[in-house]
Amino acid sequence: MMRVLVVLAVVFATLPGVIVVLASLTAGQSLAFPPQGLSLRWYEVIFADPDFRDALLTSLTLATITSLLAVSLSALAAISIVRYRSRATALIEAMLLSPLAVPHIVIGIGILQLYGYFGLRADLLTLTLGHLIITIPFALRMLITSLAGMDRQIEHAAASLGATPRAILFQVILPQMKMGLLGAAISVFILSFDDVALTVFLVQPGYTTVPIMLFGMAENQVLPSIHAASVILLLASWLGVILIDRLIGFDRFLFRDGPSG
Amino acid sequence: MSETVAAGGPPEQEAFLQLRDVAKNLGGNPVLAGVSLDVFEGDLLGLLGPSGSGKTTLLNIIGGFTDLDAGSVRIAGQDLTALPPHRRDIGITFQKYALFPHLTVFDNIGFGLRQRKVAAPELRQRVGEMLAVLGLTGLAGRYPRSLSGGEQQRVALARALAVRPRLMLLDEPLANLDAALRQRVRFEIREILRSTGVTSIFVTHDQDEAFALCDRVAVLRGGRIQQIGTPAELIYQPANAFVARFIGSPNVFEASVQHYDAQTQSIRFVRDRFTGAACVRAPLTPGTRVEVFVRPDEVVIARADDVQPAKFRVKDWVHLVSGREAWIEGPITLRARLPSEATHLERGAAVIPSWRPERAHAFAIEPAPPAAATT
Ligand SMILES: Nc1ncnc2c1ncn2[C@@H]1O[C@H](COP(=O)(O)OP(=O)(O)OP(=O)(O)O)[C@@H](O)[C@H]1O
Ligand SMILES: [Mg+2]
Repeated sequence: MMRVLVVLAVVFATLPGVIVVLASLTAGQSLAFPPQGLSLRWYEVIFADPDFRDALLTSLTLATITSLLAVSLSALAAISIVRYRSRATALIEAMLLSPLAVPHIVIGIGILQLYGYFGLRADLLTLTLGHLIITIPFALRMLITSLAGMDRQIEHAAASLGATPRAILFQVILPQMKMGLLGAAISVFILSFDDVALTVFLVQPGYTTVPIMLFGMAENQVLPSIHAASVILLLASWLGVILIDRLIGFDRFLFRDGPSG
Repeated sequence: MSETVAAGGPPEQEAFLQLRDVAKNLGGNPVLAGVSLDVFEGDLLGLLGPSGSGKTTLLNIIGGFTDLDAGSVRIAGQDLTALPPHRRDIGITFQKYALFPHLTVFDNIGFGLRQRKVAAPELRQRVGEMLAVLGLTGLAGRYPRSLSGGEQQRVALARALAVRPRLMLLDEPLANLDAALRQRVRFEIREILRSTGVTSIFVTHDQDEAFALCDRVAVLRGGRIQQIGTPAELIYQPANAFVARFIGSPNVFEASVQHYDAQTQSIRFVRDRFTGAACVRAPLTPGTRVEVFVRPDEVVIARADDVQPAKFRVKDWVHLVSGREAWIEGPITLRARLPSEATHLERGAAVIPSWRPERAHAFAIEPAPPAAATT
């Protein structure tokens, strides 16, 4: 019984992806499932589109930069919040976490107003700032949890051995947070890469991300190229995860007999 | 406070570590109150106290991880108050070892040397030495979580000793080991500390451990030092009822003073119709309620002959590794430890207990102390 439920759940969760992948390989002219014949022609079509290539590059750059920035800032914030608890750090924590309580659409409208007021245009900087606002709360929460589980005496031991506060940060605290940092970086990358609700307010014609572009495509021409674009979005997010994984050294960490957070 | 403390060591010598009236409140409770303590160069001082008596807090203050509310900590004449932990040069082993989980045994032990920018060849050599001294050579490449408790404990010790600190603080290093291992590691630690000659404080709540390892022992209770002295001093001249009760699991009973003898500083006490003698630390007036402490191995029992009124009877025998223990019952119940070859007294035999007066200690029962000082 249990097993049947598990199988059903897995099928249900993966089916949409499978359908999109299959449909993108159609040789036919229209969105259809099952596909009529197999070909990669819709991939050619979508890649031939310079707007799509621009959007893909924007999405990847945006998600990578957001991920690195959000995690670095959250790590520093988390360490001061957990290790130097005071009224000031409690306030900082509350402020950084507050976007969790506001729907992304509302944040988007707010930022749009703000940018409009200062006359800012859509570019990598303005998009990154927007994405940081919505991703830092997630990263911060994950990292606070990972830090709170760490034994403070390990840091005391390091200090007693002559480690300066800076050495403790880089040689003791951050290495122990590795799993948490990796998890946070991957989550932020996917959040940023996927986001529509906020991003839709920040882009403008000529500067957009893949998810927003797909929305546009779904409204106008309903061609199998939208499926091909979706599959590329999927593959690109995997690529991002693998990249981050390499960057932080996830595999090396797991396969030595080191600790798994 | 200071006078009682200094009595334990050679007075002409300046103590290496000096604590003066150290006080600390945590969460509104006095965790340490007026702690003064001298540790002389090369000494191994035991810090003995029940759970919650403030032992770890005191180590944290010396290590610099906890600020003190009042008092001072000096090492070799230098006040440590303004010195951050990483500049104190104090080695610590923590109650839960606190090894670096992301570093191998080798890198754990080499951590302090690396902070001191010791060159690679010397670092390898010194870590190698520590590995050898502590019997860890085969484990250099392992990570802490794959080690047994005893191995982790030795890594923690090696890590702290590798930098040759001027003071070592060991927080219950044996608490997590099983009984057999504890005996062995106890003497290993003593040998290592002796051979390095490092001044050390060894924290424990196990009296046997403190006595086996340390030249002098400080007894802590409720954040106050009760007594500092050699094991013999703590056993034969307990400063107060707490120390007398804490050391050597004595017989304890209440009685009232019948007579005080100023010359021998002892009393005769009476409890129901049983009278006996005990030494006291201060003059007591007849009628004062006292608590009497006498350890089982000081109690001699003899068969009561027909002339003496028998007040006690043998109730039961318990066999211990060190001999046998008789439970005798009369106005009070007493345990008496006898060597195994001693005459057997059958259950129910009429007996008379006695002891040398200086081996029993009586303290006036004080009115209940304020809540903060109780443990
Ligand atoms: N941060 C804190 N806030 C409030 N009370 C504390 C705090 N830290 C310790 N205490 C209290 O201080 C007392 C002494 O604690 P400490 O850890 O020094 O005891 P200990 O002698 O090391 O005990 P153990 O043998 O169990 O390790 C305890 O009653 C403890 O509850
Ligand atoms: Mg403790």
